[in-house]
Amino acid sequence: QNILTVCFSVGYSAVALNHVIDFKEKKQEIIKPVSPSELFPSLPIVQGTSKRIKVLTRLTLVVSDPSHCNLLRSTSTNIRLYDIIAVFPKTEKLFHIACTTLDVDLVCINVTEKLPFYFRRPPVNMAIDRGIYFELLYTPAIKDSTMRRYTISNAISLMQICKGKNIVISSAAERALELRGPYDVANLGLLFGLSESEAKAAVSTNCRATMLHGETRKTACGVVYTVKKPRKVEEEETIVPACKKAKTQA
Amino acid sequence: RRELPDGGARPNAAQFKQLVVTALRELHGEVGAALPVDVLTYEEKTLSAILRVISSGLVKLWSALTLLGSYQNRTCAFRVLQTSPFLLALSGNSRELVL
Repeated sequence: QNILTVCFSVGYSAVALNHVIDFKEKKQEIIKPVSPSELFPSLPIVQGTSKRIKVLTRLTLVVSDPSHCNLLRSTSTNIRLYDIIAVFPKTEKLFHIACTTLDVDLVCINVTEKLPFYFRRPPVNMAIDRGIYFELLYTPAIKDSTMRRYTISNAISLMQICKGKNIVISSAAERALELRGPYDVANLGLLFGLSESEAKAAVSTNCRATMLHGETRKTACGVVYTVKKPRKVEEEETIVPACKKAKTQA
Repeated sequence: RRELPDGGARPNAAQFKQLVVTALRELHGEVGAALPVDVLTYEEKTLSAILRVISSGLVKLWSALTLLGSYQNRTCAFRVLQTSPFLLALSGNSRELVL
């Protein structure tokens, strides 16, 4: 996996685009949470915009049983170490639970086989309200033509229910050659039925929102951004007292 | 402009065009393969090419190239470097423009 990291950074720095500043690493453990011991001695590489590539850790839980969800509630420190938590439900009940009550950031939508359940509108709407994003993978579409069909059909059915909101497209690439640039991925979003702005958002702003959601979950409070105010405002404030003074004098 | 990072094979110009048409056929069928695509330039050293397509066919072509997985039983990847309606714009990178 060390090689993977190197491959990824080479790939994206070649593309050198702004919005994909960070990428996620995926670790799949079915029952035991594994502590991400060393964060892959990752050398942040300066990109074309003099910003470093961020490396986040992400955990995906493949749940086929409600008892697996107890892991999320257990206060094991291992789970805390992951930045983003995603869940991959296999039954409709679990999908409902994941959208409504589980404390996750992403819900993965299976693309490699026909979905055993249909999406229903209530849990999807609740997930959108809670700020949970749905994730689609595009790498199977590169490997196999059967999976391509399933990917597109599942993606289209998801679009019909959620109207294109809260979608994140990501790659589960296992090799460097399976990676595609951000604009290419946004174009794939058009294939899935998203509008152009939604497709681009699916790659950039939604991913960032997912990151922030993960941070919020870790710190258990909101995320506050401070922005430097431009100097103009201060000057206006100094002018106002002067006018007031003039009035009182006159 | 597209760049093809490959495993080792070096297609020539005709094979490259064939590759593009195959990608279109795999994703969009016969209708996609019939989309008129021109290869304007092709450099065999860097495996990069400039393609021209009608603007209504851009999404189809781009998605077909993105999803192409293998060439001669070898994994390959298309990397689209730039797209623009004007040929002149392909020579510069508008993000690194210094005014």
